[in-house]
Amino acid sequence: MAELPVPAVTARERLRRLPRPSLLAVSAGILLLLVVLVLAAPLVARYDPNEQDPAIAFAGSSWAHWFGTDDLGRDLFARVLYGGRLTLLIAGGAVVVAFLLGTAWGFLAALRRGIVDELLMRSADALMAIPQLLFALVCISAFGASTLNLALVIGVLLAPTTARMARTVALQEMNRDYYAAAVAYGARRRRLLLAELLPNTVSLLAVQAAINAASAMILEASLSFVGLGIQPPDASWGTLLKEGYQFLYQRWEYAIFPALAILLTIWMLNVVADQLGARSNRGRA
Amino acid sequence: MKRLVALSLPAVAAVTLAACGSGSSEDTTSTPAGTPAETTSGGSARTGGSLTVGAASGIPQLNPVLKGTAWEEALFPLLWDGLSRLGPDGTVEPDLATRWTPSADNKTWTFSLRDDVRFSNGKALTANDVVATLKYYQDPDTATQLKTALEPIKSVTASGGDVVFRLSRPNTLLPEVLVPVKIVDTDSLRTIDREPAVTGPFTVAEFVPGDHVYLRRNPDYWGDPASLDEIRLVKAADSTAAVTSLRSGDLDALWSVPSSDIPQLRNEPSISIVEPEVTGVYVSWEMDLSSPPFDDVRARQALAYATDREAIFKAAYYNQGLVAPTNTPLADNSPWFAQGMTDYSYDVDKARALFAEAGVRELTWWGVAGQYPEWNTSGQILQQSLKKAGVDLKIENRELSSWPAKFYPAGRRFPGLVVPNFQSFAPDPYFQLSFLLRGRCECNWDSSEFTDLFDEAVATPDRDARKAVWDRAQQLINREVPIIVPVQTTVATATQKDVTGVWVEGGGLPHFESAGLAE
Amino acid sequence: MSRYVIIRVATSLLLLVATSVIVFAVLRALPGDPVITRLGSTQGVSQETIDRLREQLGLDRSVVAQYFDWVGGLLHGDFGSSYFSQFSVSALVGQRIGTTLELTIASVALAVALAVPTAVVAALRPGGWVDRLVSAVSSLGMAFPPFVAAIFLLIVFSVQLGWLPARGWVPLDEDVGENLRHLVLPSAALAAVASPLIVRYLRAELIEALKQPYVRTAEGKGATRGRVVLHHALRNALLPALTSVGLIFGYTLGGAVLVEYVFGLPGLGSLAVESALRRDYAVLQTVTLLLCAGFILTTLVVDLASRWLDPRLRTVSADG
Repeated sequence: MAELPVPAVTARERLRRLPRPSLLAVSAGILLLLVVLVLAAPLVARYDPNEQDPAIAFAGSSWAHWFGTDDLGRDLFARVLYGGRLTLLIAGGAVVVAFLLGTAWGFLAALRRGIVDELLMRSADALMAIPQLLFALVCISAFGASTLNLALVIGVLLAPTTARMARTVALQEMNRDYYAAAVAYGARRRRLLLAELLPNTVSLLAVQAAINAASAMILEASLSFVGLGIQPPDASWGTLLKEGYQFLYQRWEYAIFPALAILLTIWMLNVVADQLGARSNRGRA
Repeated sequence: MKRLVALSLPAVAAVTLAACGSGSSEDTTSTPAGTPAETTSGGSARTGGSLTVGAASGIPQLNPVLKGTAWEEALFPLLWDGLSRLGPDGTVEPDLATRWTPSADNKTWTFSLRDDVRFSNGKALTANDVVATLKYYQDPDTATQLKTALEPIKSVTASGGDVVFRLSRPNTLLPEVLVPVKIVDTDSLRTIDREPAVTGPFTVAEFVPGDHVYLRRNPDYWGDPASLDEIRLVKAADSTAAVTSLRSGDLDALWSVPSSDIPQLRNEPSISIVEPEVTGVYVSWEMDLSSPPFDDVRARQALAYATDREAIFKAAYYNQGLVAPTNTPLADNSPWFAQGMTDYSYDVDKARALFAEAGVRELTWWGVAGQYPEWNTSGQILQQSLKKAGVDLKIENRELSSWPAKFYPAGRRFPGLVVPNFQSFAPDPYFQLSFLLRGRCECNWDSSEFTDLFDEAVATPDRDARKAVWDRAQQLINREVPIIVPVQTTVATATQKDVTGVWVEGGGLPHFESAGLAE
Repeated sequence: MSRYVIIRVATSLLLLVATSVIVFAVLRALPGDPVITRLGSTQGVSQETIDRLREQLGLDRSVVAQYFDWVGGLLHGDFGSSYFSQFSVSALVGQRIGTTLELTIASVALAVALAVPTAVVAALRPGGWVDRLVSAVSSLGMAFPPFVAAIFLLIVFSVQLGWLPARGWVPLDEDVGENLRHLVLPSAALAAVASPLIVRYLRAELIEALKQPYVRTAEGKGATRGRVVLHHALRNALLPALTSVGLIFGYTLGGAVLVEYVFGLPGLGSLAVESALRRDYAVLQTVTLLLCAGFILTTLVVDLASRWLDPRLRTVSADG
């Protein structure tokens, strides 16, 4: 969640400059709107997401309940909003974990080169070869499905790809003039890393963050689908989707809303990643 | 994804002889272990055809002695025979044995074997195979769920075509107890998964562990040949896809239909729901009675009052079955149901007061992830009720394989946990209440008063007198609340209308031995 | 070239070894005991029985010894036996590998068949409305978790229209028609998610190729745009895009886990999930390693093939 405001700021700047909103602005705007809606859930939703009312179980959409109610008569609109908080928290947490782990991993490989580089990158390859979902499934089933565990496991799974990306980006930067100059001036490695490399690679790493956030949401939804997501009464979009799917024959609309929330968010993340990537490539060319 | 893997710890019809006390019985005829079950529509079946039956779990292995999941139990009568078996009317009838006679003290039973039975590997079945099978069941290295049930059998010997059982305690119900015991060829156990030697109406044509078993009619079956050419037991893990397949006709039958789908399927003209008249399935929430807070009866009574049975029955079980306000295993439409018991209908005030007296502030619901959606719904309803009664309930769902380590080997403590489960038995108090005997229930209830009553009931030949004893046992359960029983439910099997001869025993297991397709 | 091949193959083998260590270590580090799981609710089990069973399964040996038992067995073609049935792991895998292979190949083929024309149309006029539509649809397609795509297909084609079976599998050698009927939805679900990835790679490569001098030469000679794209650019863009197919194979193999589950297919994915939940290490570690090996092998083959096919890459490799 922490890195979502990054594209948002860019979006606002662009909005000011351009008469017609760019694709980046639109997608980042939609993401921002989703984040605000979800964060402001207590203000937007008129019901407690966990308050049961058996009398109105499986109610259809109405003015009182926009998305209808679930099997226990809970307001689905409120549940989707509050569910978004957990989903974004897990995805955000995973992105942070992947970023910290992956950047350290990739930068270290880029700086040390030689055998260290080889070792670090081969181990990243080995981890990437293991089917992610299977790995996550085994870990979560063993350690339990708390928000923290989900964010950690998914973050670790996304770290190798992030490490590859970070290494490539770092190597590119190290070939540039300013870096050579800094080295020539005798700058220390750690200082170089923090003062030069990291700030200059941030835009590309932001692209990776958006991609990671999308992957994290897909993994979270998949784990929820096998029952290893957030535990009741709380729910993430993944668990809501799974619950809705179980009631496909009772009320098919139930599954639609969480599915749309997931798809819209990942879609917008993909567009943002695309646009950001294209932009920083253009900036470099 | 309601049932990813059903290792199904809930044991089906695992009964125990452990508590059968002294006192002999004049009653040499078999007592009904079940009640008449509904069968699929009559009409004559044609010979031939193939039946595809879906279940949420796959069959992991074929050895009936090592049965681990409930669904395997539905396969075994198709392949193997016991000395006795359950008939569609719920009575115990001869299978491999032609007749049985107890001694006057009910401690020695003699079973006479059929002489025309051959295993599918060509070997003739003799009394020695029965002896060897029982020995295999009782071997300490054999991991079987029937170990406790068979523990009172002191010796089994062959004498000509007869098998003689000697018991350490008298028992009038041995033929019932032996129903789940399937006789196998112990010489070919090493290949039982690959080339099982069977005596039943079908043989194995193809077996992919955990996915499907295809069965073919056994041409050498000693009884009436099956009318179907083939039965396919397939895994339909995803229940939504399974119900879709049933509606579209890709599946001919589906076991354990999700309760949320039953009301609608009842209205489908092409589908029948098959279920027993009196159910032997009850929902059991277990607590650890050997550690605080549930070693205090007030905490258990409080939980009983905090259970909103009506809401759970409606939202989690879709009105399938019966509400159990007296918190006892037997359904109130059972002839054995006792009167004069406390009504634990939902009462937050009583629950709050009792919880406060017992000093209970927080509890944990220990469920299973990914399956049994009805448990999940029940847990959330209980959570809301407990909140009103001043107790926090944390819901923790683990996948099934972390379950055994929590509760086994038996006697494990699990303070403060409420563990949902269900039990399925023949709807007779002997089977239904046996679950609460010492060492049987994970709840660690150790009541000599209950054991004594159980022994007395089994030793009482007169039905009315026996009912009086069972009444006292139920009243004790009602007072002591060793487990929470919110509802009795059914495990429903749905079939296409043109499927005939399928029946379901009280515990919910479907029987396909005489299934056929209508002409 | 041959030096490169040797190095590349050696790296792949090392990678496989590293993967086997990781898979093994992770599984043993996790809580959960196959012996207890297997005994389940069996009553009256003594500690001796538990110990004896553990010994039979070789679980009493040290972790390092167990690793070498496993790898040593693998090298001799002995994949071990399941803790839960009498089948050897190779038999269990043999029963199911065909389904997974067929599903994966069909999905990738379907994905490529969908992706190539789409990418060509999009690349004809970069930035045009078709291109923008394609990129919007493809980024939406990438947003689908494979099982969500599966559910959508299930709702439309099985529940609503009733055209295709909702679950189950008929092997190819049993009935070709039924096999294809059961294959359509699962492979479509995977292809729906995989083809956007191919579209994106291929479109980028095509646009790059269309900037090359020979394209302008061809256009100068009066060839139509469509002809140029099909005959010149596509041929040159396909090779680099081939590399992405390797990745997509791996991705599909992973996505197949839940798709197999939803459609009840007896494949390696469902075998892995079942073994994971039962802590049947013997099966799980080998199946996971096989899935990894499949991924590593595909990348290797694709890598070598594209170098062999494209002389430009060969010179590049000689440089670096």
